[in-house]
Amino acid sequence: MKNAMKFKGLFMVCLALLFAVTLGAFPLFAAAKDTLTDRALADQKTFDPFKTSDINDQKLHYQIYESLMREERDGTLSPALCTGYRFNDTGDEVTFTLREGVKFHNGAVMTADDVVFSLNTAIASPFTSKMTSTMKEAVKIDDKTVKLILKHPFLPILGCLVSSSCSIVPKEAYLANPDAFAQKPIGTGAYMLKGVKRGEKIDLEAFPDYHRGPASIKYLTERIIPDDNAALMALESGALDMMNPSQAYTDRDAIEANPNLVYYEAEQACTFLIGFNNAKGVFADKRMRDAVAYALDREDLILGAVNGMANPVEAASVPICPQFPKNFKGLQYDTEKAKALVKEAGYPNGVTVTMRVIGAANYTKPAEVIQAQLRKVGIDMKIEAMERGTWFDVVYAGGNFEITYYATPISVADADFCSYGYLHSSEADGKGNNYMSVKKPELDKYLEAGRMGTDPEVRNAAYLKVCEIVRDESIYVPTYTGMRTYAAHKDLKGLYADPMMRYYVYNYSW
Amino acid sequence: MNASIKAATHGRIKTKKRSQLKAIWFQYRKNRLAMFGLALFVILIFIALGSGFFVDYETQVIEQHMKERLRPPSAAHWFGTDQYGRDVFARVVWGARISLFVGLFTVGIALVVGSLIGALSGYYGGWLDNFLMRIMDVFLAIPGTILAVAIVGALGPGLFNVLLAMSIARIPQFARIVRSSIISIRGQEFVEAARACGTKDRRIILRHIMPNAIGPVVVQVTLHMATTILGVAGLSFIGLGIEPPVPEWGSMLAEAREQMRYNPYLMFFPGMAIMLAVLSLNLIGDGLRDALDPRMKN
Amino acid sequence: MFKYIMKRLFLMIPVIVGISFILFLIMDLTPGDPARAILGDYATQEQIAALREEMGLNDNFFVRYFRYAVNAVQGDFGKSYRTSVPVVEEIYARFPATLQVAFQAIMLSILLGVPIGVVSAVRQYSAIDIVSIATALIFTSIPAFWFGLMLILLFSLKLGWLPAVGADSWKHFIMPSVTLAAAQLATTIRMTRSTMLEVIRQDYIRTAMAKGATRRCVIFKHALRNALLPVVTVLGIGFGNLLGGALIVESVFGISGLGTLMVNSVKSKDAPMLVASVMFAALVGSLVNLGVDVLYTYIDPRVKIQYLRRAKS
Repeated sequence: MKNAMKFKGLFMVCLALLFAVTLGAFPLFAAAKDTLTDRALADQKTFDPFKTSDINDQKLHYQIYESLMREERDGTLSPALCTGYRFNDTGDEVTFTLREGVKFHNGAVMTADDVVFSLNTAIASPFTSKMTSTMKEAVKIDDKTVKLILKHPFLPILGCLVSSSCSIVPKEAYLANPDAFAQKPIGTGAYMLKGVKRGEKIDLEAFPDYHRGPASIKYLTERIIPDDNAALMALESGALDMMNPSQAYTDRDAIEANPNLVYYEAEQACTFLIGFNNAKGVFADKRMRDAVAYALDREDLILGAVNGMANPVEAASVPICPQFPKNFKGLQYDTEKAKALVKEAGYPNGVTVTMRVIGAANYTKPAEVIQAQLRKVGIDMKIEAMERGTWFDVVYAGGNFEITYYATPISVADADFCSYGYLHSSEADGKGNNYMSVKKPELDKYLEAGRMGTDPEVRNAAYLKVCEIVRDESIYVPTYTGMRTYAAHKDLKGLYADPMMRYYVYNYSW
Repeated sequence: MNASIKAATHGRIKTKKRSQLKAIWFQYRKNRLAMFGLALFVILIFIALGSGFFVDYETQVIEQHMKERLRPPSAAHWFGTDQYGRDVFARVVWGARISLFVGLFTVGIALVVGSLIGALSGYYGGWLDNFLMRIMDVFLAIPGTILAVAIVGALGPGLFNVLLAMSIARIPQFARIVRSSIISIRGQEFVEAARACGTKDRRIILRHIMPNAIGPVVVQVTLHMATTILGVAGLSFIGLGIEPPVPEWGSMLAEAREQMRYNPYLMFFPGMAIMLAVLSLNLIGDGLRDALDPRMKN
Repeated sequence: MFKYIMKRLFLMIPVIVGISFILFLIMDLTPGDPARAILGDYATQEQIAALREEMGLNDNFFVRYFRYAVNAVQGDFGKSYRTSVPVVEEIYARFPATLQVAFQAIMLSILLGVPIGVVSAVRQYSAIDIVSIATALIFTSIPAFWFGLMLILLFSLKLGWLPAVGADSWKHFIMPSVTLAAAQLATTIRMTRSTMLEVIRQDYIRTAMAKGATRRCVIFKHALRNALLPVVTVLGIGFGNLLGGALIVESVFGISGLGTLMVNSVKSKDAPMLVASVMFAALVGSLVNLGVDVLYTYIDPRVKIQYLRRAKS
């Protein structure tokens, strides 16, 4: 009997224990998921933030490094490595108060020297010029104050300082050996690089001393899967937790139909466009540029090129910019007008032209649709797909082309970034981004007014004028804004699609 | 007198050749698989030549009809339509023309240049042979696809450049075959006889040696046409081949790839077309090899 | 034998030098500027001109080639233009995956091809013979990339049995190996068949048969020994082909091996990477060929005598 009691007691204890373990196991089990496996398109070219302008490289830079400013989910800017900033009266100098006690991954504390060095390196680098072209230099005021001097008043400057192109690096470690630094980066960001297996994966680990507290997800792995089909299959099988980026426009339905996955999309921060050489060749003739604008059927283009996943754009701007003119109308689709213009321009029997594009689906597929559309109005267009670097050499820097298909990628939501460089005469002839050789004093005037303006209303008006001139002169033909798409497991929280593909794994949790 | 000897020799060679051809054809005909391949190839040539009558290039092959994109196979579109609304059947049919042209042309260039190199080096031997063959060794040591990829990279994509790249990659193989047949024939009595008569080298090579070395070369020509069609399709597939909108089978497959999950039929038909074309050539080549090989005679 | 191997190794040197020269030349003719590849899309003309000067890109072609060769002999094959990683490191990281696929493909083609070839030869012109040859030919005629995609369609998408891409586990290597082996299979079958046919007609087989040995005994003891030769040949020829074929199969199955490395370097005009990786592939191919030839001598003593005679002369 006593024995039985003892046994019963033991049994009860066991049961209680089992119960406790089961109960406890649930949170334990949930906490066990502390890794995130994401997809990378290719090997990381460099971890040096000043030696790339490729958003696929920058994706990890946003985890490893931080800049002075940070962009919140709603698009507002907040201080990151500074605690505050102050513009001077003329608007061409910004003074930053640095955050104290911020540690780099190697344990060193961030100093004003590091900040000054990093900004000046970014200003000198050709890779980061799009973000730093309005900056003159950074100077140290005292141990916790740094002043950034601009070339002229520039309202969107804080937006530039969000970019990973303006990351803060430890001066000494960087200077000791820049090449080694590009392989073994040191930043102040929420994650530090643990290991790279070329062609396979990149491992990162949460930085325990991160100044906002360590990240909720402890391990971040980037799996290199170049093929979109393959990446989707990996996501479905659970080998990936998220797929960023995903460029296969055909996959949206499959992802949305899958109960385990959530699909995210946002408009891209760029407008794709048909670009002309305005200075020489067939399209120096405005009638021919008009003909292309009339021959373009945006709806078909979007269907054929990106499976319908884009929004048509008729203004020479990017929809996420606050200055973007809503309901702006470009030249409307009219093949008869286009045909007549081609004849009028002196080509009664049609004309043969060559479109030089970067050999990536983003550009070659729309090129193919445009080719078919132009054929209908008497323009026989050959497509010459080039390697990216070659295209930049020949078309972008060299200006050797008739017609091309490219985009206006921006990293700050402001119309200056998609207009000034591409259209101002000072940037023409290989000196900048004005590869279409646009030289119009009137246009220059509005571009300058927009750039230096300090009143938002004045700037809006200036950029509307720019859009009108681009349309009336058919300087280029805006086509559409695509989608940044990605997909993730439904349990992953804190994600949102970002137009510029900036994302911070620090905000994520399981 | 000299002329009459020449005429006499000529006549004899001709009659001999005809009987040889007959014998080969007799052997070949017995091989059912080879006959099947030949029939397939004849049909293919018929399709390629007649494609201009079946389909209209402008409106059916390259014009886009977005409203009708991605329709599965039906009575109106036997093979369905692609992502630009083009009829896949029309494109596959037109593609036969491109692929056969590419195959013939590539192998043609490789054959002419390769035979020349092979003949020179086989006939003269010595340092020339050594020199030419070392160069050929170098080319052979580079994987053919890589060599073609590199050359296309240098020249840029496009029909003509792809042709050139593929032929350069194949020259060494023909050079080798021709060289070895020539070496085996060079020492034979009838060549020595011709040389004793004072015949010029060029004439000996072209008139006496080449016709006798032709057997293995013909086999290689068919087999290489097969691999060339595969190779060009492969190049187009990795984006270094013939440019759109030309309906080359490989580039059709490359375009279909992103749709393969949702519209697998887009991958099926061009793939089958490549397979049948290559299969027919392989069957013919195999049949010819057997027919030419005296050991296979029962 | 040792002398022969040394001679062969020595003969590889001019081939390797030739490869580097030809590829260097081709890459030199390829449009595109390595300086731009290093400095990025938005570099100005002056910055590019300065880097070109620094890298010595403005020198004469032969000067640059010579410089490259001198460095290469000292073991420095340069850095990738695209990633600035030493090329040797990159090749070393990527070779195992390619090797694994190629090796498995060869094994598969031998394991399937030799038995089929033997049966085919023994029962010449029978239904089995015709069917096996036809099947083999169909497999050779299928474009490898299409076959691979079809396999993915069936086994990954429809059935969900196998992972479509990557190189993490043995399961990942099944489809790539099958795809590569498919093209190789026909060669193996054909070679085995024709050698067997030849061997079967030999006098010693007839003698063995006449002496009353069973058919099975004759085939396995006498004839099959000789069928080992084509197997070894397939090993040799196949390896070179497979390295080339790997290029397309790797891109289909997302394996980052030597093949994808070569294609990417061509596409991005990464000359140091391309030249070194092709030299490496050719070196491996030549070494395997040499190994095969040495193996020959053990299988077929007649060959050994030939080599020894040649080595002496």
